[in-house]
Amino acid sequence: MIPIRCSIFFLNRIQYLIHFLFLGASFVFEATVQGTYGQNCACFFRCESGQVRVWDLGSRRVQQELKAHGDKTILWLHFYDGSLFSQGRDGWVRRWSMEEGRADICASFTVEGLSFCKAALSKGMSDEVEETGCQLLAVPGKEMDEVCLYDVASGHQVGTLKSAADSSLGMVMCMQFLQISPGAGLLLLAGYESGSLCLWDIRMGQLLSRLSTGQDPIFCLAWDGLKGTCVSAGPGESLETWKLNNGKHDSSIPLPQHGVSALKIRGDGRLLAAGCWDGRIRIWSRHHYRPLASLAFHRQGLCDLDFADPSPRAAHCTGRRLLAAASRDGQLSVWDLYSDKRR
Amino acid sequence: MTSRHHRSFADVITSVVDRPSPLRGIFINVLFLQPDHVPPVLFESLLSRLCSLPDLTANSLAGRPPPVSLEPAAYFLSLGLAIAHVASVGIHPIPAFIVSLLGKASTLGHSTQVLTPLLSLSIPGLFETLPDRWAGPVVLGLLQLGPRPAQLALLFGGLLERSAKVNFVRSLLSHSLILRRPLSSNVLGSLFPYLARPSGQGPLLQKALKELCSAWATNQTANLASYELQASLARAFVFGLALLAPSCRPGLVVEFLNAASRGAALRLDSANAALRRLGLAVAAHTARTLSPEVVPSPEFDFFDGPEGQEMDKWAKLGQRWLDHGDDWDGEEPGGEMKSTVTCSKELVAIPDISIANSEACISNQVPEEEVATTTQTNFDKLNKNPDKIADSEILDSDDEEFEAYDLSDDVPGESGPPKPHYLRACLERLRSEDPLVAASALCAAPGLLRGEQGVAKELAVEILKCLLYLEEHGWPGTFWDVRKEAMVAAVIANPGPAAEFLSAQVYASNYNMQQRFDALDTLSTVALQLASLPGPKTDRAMLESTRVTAEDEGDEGPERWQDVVRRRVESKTRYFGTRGRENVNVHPKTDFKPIIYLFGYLFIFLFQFLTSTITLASRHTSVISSIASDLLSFAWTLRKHPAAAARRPVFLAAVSSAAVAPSGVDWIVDGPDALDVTSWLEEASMEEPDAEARELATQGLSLWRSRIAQQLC
Repeated sequence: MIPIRCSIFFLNRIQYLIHFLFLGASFVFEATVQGTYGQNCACFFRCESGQVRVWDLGSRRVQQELKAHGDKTILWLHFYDGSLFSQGRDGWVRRWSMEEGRADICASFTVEGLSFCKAALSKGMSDEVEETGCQLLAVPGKEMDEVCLYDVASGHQVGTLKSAADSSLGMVMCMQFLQISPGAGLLLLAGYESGSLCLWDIRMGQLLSRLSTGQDPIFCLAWDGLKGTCVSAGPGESLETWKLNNGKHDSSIPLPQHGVSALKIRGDGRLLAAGCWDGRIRIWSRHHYRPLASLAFHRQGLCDLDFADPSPRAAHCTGRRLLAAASRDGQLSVWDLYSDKRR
Repeated sequence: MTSRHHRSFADVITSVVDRPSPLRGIFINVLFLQPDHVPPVLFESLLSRLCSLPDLTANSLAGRPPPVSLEPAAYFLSLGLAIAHVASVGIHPIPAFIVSLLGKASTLGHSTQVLTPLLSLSIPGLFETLPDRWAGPVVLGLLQLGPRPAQLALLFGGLLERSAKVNFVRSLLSHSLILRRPLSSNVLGSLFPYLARPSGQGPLLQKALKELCSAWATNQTANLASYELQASLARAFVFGLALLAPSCRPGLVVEFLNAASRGAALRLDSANAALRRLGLAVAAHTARTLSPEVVPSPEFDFFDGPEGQEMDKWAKLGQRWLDHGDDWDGEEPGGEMKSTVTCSKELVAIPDISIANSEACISNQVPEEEVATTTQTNFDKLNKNPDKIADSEILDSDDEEFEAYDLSDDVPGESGPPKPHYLRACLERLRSEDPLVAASALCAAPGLLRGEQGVAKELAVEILKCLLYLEEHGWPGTFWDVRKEAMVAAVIANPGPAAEFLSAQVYASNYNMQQRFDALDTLSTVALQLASLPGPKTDRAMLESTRVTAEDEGDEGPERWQDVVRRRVESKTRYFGTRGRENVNVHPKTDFKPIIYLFGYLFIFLFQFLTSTITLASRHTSVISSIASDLLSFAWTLRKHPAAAARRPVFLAAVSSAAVAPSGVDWIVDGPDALDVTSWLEEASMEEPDAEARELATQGLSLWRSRIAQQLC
């Protein structure tokens, strides 16, 4: 039995509501916050032990525990539209229906590549995807720089993205689906070990553009659709923003400490959050990248971040915009961040 | 057709009109479309009968069968046109009928359709009999058409004289018009110049401004009203203030300035940046308008903002109305009035979203054969997407609304867990098994011990326990220096119990040699630091003497603590030579008591312990040298102390320093020469009155002579 401790801190002037879990020696690798799960906000996280836990922010209890992939560890976890997607080291990708407190497997298929690069899910962004009902999952392939595309519903591999002419990309490190405009096709933005940022056309299976961001690998990226820029980060001491339309460097956001492992832009497009190696969560305003906060709670580097949209259904989280952060110190923090500014 | 025939025909027609039938619709259509063919008497009679039709329309709107041929939207317009035609042929419409019609049309929201043709008639006193219950909607509808002030005065006639002015302003202006919905520019441009007319309505403008002013400065308006409504209030107030006659202004300066200042203060805490600027802009314009020579016009940066520019334009517009009176048609020479009366959103600069230039969407590092041409199309679509630009507009203000939190602790070079801010939290974290947490607490401990003196006195011993057990594993920096600093600060916080505890730990069995020497080193340092602290009784005297000495000697540098102590001792013993040491009446309780107290513990354990472990301590040469040097320095400084209780540990210190000092090392740092020490001990061994001290001096003399002999050899 892993001891669980829960406390609430109200920090000075900052109305942060922190729920933190002490999970013994196990690492929290990833966290995803969902505002409409059940009657309360729920927070999903996976541990080193391979368990998926659903943490109810209302009752502050572990609501559910899943052995999603047996004893194998979980590589990736994502919650979308009432379903939980998990990728295990056993080579399986599973889709769980989490409706009404259940956890039933809706779909399950195997993938070939296993690496620490997180998979990416197309969240119904493309009209074509919505029309055909095809939801794509991008996972690293067998080759280092290969990205395989799977249809989530059928489990079939529908494509492979690999640069035939240039093999100096290195290992794929991070991916994100994006759609430049509502009518445009689905694109995949991928960061590589060589520091390259590649934009792939999913429909044609072709490389649209490639940016060289430097010598450092890209660990995480975030697509800013409103500005048409991509924010990338790695082991360096800055975040870099890139204009994808002309392939040029846009701006550089300095960091006090080096190393960023997670980047996220809030759903309303107003905040940019970075989970840093020094255990801090740094917040910027998305428009001018003005530094807003440096949240110091974790004692070790951050693993992942995720924003939750405000939920009208969840009484506990009404109007709140939560940010969940998972750290290597085994703790998961949930922050109420700039929720009362929008009137 | 005679008049009698007209009457009978009118009866027939009106009977037709009264009945809801298809024939009524046809007849009315013909009547309105070709009014020239209808006799005036018949027309008047028909109109009087038609007066009841709005009720039918209203009933039909409420769920009854709709009118046969007349649409409600066109019905009032047709009535208005018919009334205008009747007036044009020389028949004066019945004011009661028009007022009734206006009231019903206003209730249904169609007053403008009736008023549009009526406005051109300019019938004097048309609204004079307007009932109060319809005054708000009718006047608002009329003002929305933007009549000229003279025209408005003609239509109103004696309305204001009939109504109580204060009630009119309060109920009509404040409650009905301004405070419930944002005023359009037409309403402002008509109403306020009308109220500012010199022909007797001047006080009404003052009352209106007072109402606006009180509403502007209320907490409810500032916090609960929407931005559009507050912007409308601000525009009305600034515009009305500019229209106010200069002769009326002096009596209102204090009231309006206070209200404007309060309004600005109430909005300073708003999360909406535009609202904050708006409050400041109104305050600045109020000050500038009312008394530019008395109250210096504040120069704020927000004058460059859209709110400040808009207020400026409204103030200039009011000033032009005031200068030209009714002769001015409200048009700017350059056509600026159109832009003046636009809402504030148009003045907000649209951010530049430069996602165009899609030619170079492909990096030059990409192989050309891999690059698809669809990228340009995609980015062109992005550039043409209006939703993106609209979102970006919103984000412009959001960026300012987010208040940045304190980022002072987020500086380069500092990493790991945060430092504790309180001593109890520091103590808790010192017990943590995480080396990073303990390290951060250790770094913060000295400052906290010095800052929280009350808590530090209570927790000094507990903190010393933690510090003694703290180990170097996982420590990122200079562990020993920081820990020694923390331990010294802990002992200084509560010297008695802390020194007793630390001295006892030297003999405890649960410490290694390093920890024991750390304890001794800490005690030595504490003793020196406490000796340098000025006593409470002699602070001023010591400082003065220090200053005088420094001035006399021309030495501007800081004085050493040894000199200060020596001078103090000499000042207390300046009668030694005349009255004898035995007869000196010096109270043994001196400011050195904490030092003596410390040394009482320190030297007893030091001498006994170090002499027995001197061989084991050979690998800690630097520590022993430091301790010996400090002991000797302190003994030399206190060698002339009048109290025997103080001189005993002084001689003990001299003995200890000679005993523990490593041989072959130049360990005396910043202290007396060995020959001087020997001379002092030789003199003391003969002249010291206290027997115990004399014995210690004799022991020290032998030890020092042997050390000198070793050095000479």
